[in-house]
Amino acid sequence: MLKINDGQLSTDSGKVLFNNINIEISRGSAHYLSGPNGIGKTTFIKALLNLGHRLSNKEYLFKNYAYLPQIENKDFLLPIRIKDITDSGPLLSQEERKTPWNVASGGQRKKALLERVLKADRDFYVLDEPYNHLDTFSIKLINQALSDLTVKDKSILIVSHTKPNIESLISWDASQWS
Amino acid sequence: MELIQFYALNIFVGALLSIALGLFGAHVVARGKTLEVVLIGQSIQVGILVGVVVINYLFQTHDDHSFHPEIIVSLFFTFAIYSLYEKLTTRKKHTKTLVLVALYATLIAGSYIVVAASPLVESHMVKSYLGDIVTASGPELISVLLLTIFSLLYFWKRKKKFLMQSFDQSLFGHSLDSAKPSDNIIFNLIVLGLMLSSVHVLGIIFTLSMMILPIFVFQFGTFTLRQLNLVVVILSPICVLLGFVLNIRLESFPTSALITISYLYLAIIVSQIIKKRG
Repeated sequence: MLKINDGQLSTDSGKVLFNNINIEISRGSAHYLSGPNGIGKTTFIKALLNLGHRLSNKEYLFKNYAYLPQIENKDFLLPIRIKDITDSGPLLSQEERKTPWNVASGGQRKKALLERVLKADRDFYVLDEPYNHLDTFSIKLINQALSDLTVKDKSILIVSHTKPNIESLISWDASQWS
Repeated sequence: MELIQFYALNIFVGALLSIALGLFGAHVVARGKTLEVVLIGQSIQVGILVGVVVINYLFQTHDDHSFHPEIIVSLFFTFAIYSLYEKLTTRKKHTKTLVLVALYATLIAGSYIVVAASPLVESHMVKSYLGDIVTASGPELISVLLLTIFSLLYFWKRKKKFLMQSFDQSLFGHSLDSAKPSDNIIFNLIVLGLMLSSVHVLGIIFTLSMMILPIFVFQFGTFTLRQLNLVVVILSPICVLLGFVLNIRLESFPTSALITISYLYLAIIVSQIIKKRG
C-alpha cells in the first residue's frame, strides 16, 4: 500500500534531510519511527501524506488517511467546546467535553484529537507523538485502539519518543536514513 | 412605513445576505483569512470600476437600472488578483501579510487612477464603498436572493464539515483527514459569490462588517458556537432593517454605515447580556 525505494526527502527550500529511504507499509501493519529531535521525522510524515516538502520514489496507494499532528497550544477563534470536536469516546468524560477548547489543557486537547482521528474510518493512520501529555491509563487505551485497528486491516505509522506497546510492531530509526 | 413596504424585497435580500455573510465570515476569519477578505473586497471594487470603463468603452452605454455586466469583469479581475497572491506566497508563507498589504495599497492607488482617467466611474467608487441596495434592479435582487438561499442551505448541510475544516486549517494549516479538495473549493466559491454580490449591492463596508464583526465581538468572553450563530441569524437582519429605518429619518446618512454602527452597538450589548447570564 505504500512503498519507498531508495527515496530522498528534501524540504521545500531544497535542503536534503534523508537519503536511501527503503520502507514498505502493507495492510494491517503497525510501524514505529524513532530518531533524535529535529532530524526530520515530522517533515517525513508531511511529505508522505503530500502535505508539503518532497519525497522521491514514493508509491502511495492508500485511498485515505487520518493524521494526528503534533499539537501546539494554539487557540481557535470560533467559540467551540471539546464536544464539537468529539462527542463520544473512551478518553474523555462527558464533563470534560463541555470544556471550551481555548481553556482545555494540553492533555484534554490531545485526547480530543486522538478520539477524533481514531474514530475516523480510514485505511492509514499516522500519529505524530500521540503519547505526549497523556497518563498511563490513556496510553494503554490508545495502544488497545491501535491494535484493534490493525486487526481490521488498517495500517498505522507512529512517530514517538516512547516505543508503543503494540504487537508485531515494525521499527525504523530515522537516523539511519541521514 | 410605505417606504419600508416599497423596499421590502431589497430589505429582505439585504437581511438574508447579512446572515450568510456572518455565518461564512466567522469561518473565513477562523481560517486566518481576514486580510485575504479585505484584499478580495478591494479587488472586487477595483474590478467593478475597471468593468464600468471597459463596458462603456466597448458598448458606449451604461444603464444603472438593468443587469450590470461589470460584475463579470470584476469576477475575473478578483480571480486574477487572488491567483497572483497565491502564486507569490505558495512557497513563501511568511510573506503573506507583506504581499497582501502591498497588493491592497496598489489596488487603492489603482482605483484612484481609474477614477481620474474616467470620471464616469466616480459614483461607482462611492457606491462600492457604501453600497446602494435601493437602486439594485429586480433581476439583480433575485440573483442575489437565490445565491444567498443556496449558500444558507449548503451551510446548514455542511456546517459540521466546515467547522472541522476551519479548525484544522486554523490550528495545523492543513486537514487532519484526506478530505476532498472540492469541499474547500466550494466553500471558497460561495464566499467569493457572496462577497461579489454584497459589494455590488451593499458596498465594501457592509460586506466586511457583516463578515467580521460578529466573531470580533464574541472574542471577549466565554460563549458557545450556538450563541454566536444565533446572534448572527437574529441580530444581522434586525440591524439591516434598523439601518433602513434610521436612513428614512437621517436621509443624508449612508444606510450601510448606519447598519454597521448599529450592529456593533447591539452586538456588544447582546454579548454582555449573554455574559452576565452565564
